[in-house]
Amino acid sequence: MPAKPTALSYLARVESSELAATASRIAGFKFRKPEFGTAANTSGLRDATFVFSRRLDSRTIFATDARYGALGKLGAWTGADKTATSTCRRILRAAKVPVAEIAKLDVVVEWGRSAKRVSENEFKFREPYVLRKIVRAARAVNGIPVWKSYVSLGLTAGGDVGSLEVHWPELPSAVIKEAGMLQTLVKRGFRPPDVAGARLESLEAGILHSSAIGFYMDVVAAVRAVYIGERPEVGRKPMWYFNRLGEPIVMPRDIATRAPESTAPRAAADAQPS
Amino acid sequence: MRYSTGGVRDYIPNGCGGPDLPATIDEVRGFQAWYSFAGHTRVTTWENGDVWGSDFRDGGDNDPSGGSELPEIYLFAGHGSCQNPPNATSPDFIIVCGNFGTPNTVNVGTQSRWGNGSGNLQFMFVDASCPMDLVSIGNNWFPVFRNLHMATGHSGTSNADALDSPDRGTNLAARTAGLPGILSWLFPQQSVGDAWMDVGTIDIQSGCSAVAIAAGRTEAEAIDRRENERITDNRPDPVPNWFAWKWRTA
Repeated sequence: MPAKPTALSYLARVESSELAATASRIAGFKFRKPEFGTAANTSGLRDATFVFSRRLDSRTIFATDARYGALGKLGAWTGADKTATSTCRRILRAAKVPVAEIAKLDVVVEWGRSAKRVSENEFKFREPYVLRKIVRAARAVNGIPVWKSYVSLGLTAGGDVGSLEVHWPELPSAVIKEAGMLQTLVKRGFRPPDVAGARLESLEAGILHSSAIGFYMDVVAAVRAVYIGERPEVGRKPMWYFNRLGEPIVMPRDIATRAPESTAPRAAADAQPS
Repeated sequence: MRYSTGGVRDYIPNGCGGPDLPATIDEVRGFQAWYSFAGHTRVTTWENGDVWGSDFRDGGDNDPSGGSELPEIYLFAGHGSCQNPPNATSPDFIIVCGNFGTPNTVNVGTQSRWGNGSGNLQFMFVDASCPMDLVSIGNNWFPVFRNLHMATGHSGTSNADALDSPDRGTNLAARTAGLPGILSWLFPQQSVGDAWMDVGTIDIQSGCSAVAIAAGRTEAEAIDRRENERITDNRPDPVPNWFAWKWRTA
């Protein structure tokens, strides 16, 4: 349900200047006649060029310059990694991301390639090329990974912010404490349940939370167990999250889901059961 | 737009090679939740043994009870194939565990054709680990494009695999569906290619790549679709003279 006009007017008056200042400080965006919007657990500003929004229940920010991208007017960064990571560090400070929690800062390269169909079974391939570089930050608290926290930064060819996502939610101290307990249990030989048709590949304690886009902010400590199948050529490895007793945890939510309306099995008109 | 999902958790209980993949069910239901929230129409949402190999093979893919050609958008979550390492002639497989419509293994390059005949499929999202290997993408994925616009998947090996996670499909939906009202810009809507680069790299092992491929009459058109096409663009079907793909490696 949209906010009532009076509430919206009040929120716009209170939040717009703060949003504009935050967008300027973190992303360098200067809005011209911005539109204010708020819905569910978010609020933000946009104009013809920039969008800056944030969640109200988490340290989560989205910032986009519409001119950014490999085909965009301002292009995308393909230059030195060091320049991009330096810019990211500045942004992390501006976004008040605790420096001690930055576990890793690396540059991911996005590649592109194309090919022409010469005939039904013959194709002419062009050489691969770098489309853009993205700086990614990973998070750990007291050496405990926070798997779904990240910063993702794409710069324009000129080095300005083109696309920025910060998803670095505040964590309850009780969850951090429990994650530390789980880490100790893993070191002391925590044994997760067996998975039929697979054997354990890796085990790690950490913190899991809801995604950046979503209507919930659940945070939970867990032991993550990755298994490899007996037939390794079959892809997609099982991954389970367990609590201290080796029981599957309730996974953090993003949006309310529901089971299919019909539970009747699918019938085949002409086929026999396999 | 109309969408379908196929999620296969149960491999061992149904007598197929395992292991089971419990997160696939949360993944397809999360995808459904976002797409329905955005106002798209669900066509079929089969799970486990109700997802059939024939749904992805040319001929069976128009089955009115659940073929992948019925909707414009289809997400498959389940097992795929991972050669170690693949080469240019290695096939890519989607693996189900169906009650009907066997065999359960679908050779994408030789058996899948999307957008041909009365087929509607425009966007095929495969979250099954390796069945979009870069080294064999010409053999396995160029032929499937008839009127298909885009496809997404992973390239990897058994040592650089995707992990069973609900997050890739759920987040792909959140970022591509086009949310209603003000949420359409408060939460960013991305092109299919950009969204998959961001979410396809979630919960995958080092060395595994998220891959997105598009087709077009010209090279420029294929590249433009790869970079910019959104599921809500309502673009016409492409003539697959050219292919453009991109990837990001974890």
